[in-house]
Amino acid sequence: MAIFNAKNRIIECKLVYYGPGRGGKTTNLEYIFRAFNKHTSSEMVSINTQGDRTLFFDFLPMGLGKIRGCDVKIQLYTVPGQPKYKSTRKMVLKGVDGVVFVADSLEIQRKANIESLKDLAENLAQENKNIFKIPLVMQYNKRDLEEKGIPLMPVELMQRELNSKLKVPYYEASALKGSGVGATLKEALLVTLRHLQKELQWTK
Amino acid sequence: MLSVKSYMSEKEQIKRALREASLYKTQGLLEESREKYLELLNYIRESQKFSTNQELIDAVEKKIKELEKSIQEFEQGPKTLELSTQVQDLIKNLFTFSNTDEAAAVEGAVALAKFGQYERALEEFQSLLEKGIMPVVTAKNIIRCYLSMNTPEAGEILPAMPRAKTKRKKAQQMIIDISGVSIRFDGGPLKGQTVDFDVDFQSSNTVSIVISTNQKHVADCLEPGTRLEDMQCYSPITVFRSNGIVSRKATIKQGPRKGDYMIDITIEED
Repeated sequence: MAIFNAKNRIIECKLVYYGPGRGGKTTNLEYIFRAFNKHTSSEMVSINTQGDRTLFFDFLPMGLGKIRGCDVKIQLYTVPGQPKYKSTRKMVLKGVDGVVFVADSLEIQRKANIESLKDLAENLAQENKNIFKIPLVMQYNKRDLEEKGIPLMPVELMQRELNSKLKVPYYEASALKGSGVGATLKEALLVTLRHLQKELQWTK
Repeated sequence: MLSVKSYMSEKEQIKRALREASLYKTQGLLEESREKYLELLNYIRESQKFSTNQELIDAVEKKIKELEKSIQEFEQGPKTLELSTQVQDLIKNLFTFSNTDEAAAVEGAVALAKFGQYERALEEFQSLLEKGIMPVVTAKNIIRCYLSMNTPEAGEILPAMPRAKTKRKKAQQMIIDISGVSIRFDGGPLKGQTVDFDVDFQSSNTVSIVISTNQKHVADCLEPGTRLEDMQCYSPITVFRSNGIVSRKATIKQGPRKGDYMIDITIEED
């Protein structure tokens, strides 16, 4: 639920990184925090449990400066990926404006990706939002592990299984090394702001 | 899946499986890592060349035991954490969406409870109840918090709960058996229109109405926190006017009205 303050020309929106547990959502935000520090207005908040698993969410506020006379502020969140934290994911998704789905390229995570995407669709529906309409970008993470001889799913297979119906923009990435992270974020911001522009007419 | 080929390829396959299992562990994929080590252990035991290599078998078994311990620790670990006041304040702030101060205060406390910060949530709910803010909702949430904390207070809480302001309590007692409400919309797509609703359920001064899915545009005008000025309330003995606030909105999950919207309206004193 983006907030548009017409008087002060400020727009605030919420972008959520979703995906299976241990897929690299937090690593994405950590890289963004380090690499885009000019745009980050405060510390990144992470609420983790043992084994560095996200327990509640990560939160990173960013300022994009002025776009067509409006001060644009973005809040980036991650959700805990483990299936047992469904209610927390629902809570974090409240008022979401755009989603980055971080899919894990590891072959052993094939089922987890599909289940997480299904969970996203269900949770969005409960928020009266449609996965086919919400600004969404797909990221195929951990592509760097191919070099280490670890079995990964081919991108074509991931596209077929996760994106053949959604047909949203997708990026190959290695959140650990940072490749593809910026491109994913930029595209997610672009589609989200474009959507909000249409919805709120905030550039007029 | 591992398969037995030549001596060299067996060795290579073992190395490869070890690399995979170790990487899954570093990625935090503990179950997957354990599965890989178990698969490898079976492979070694069936291998003519390696089944007598007790050192290798012991090393893999040790890895499996370590992983099983980590998995158990994770499963038995706390499902929630007591967070710092700063982070609790952040949660309250980030998960509050209502426009009115009262609804936002309740929403903030609910968010704290949903993130397992029961003690802080209890403080907030009790303070809200003392101020007479949405008393039914806050009282229900106080009980929920005690139940979640699994404390003996859960059974004893009702008589011990702080009382809302007397004047408001009297007003609540006066509101009995409301069978229908008329709401005039002052804004949004239904601006200027009056819509009548049957009351399906009532608990104290909170009435529940059900709106069918094909009336979504009406339900959309009744988001939690929406103030309803000058509502008309119908009871078998009288008709009176009152203000109200939408205190809850949910989708019915099962039964013949599955998919319809259930909306709770808390009727306020004049």
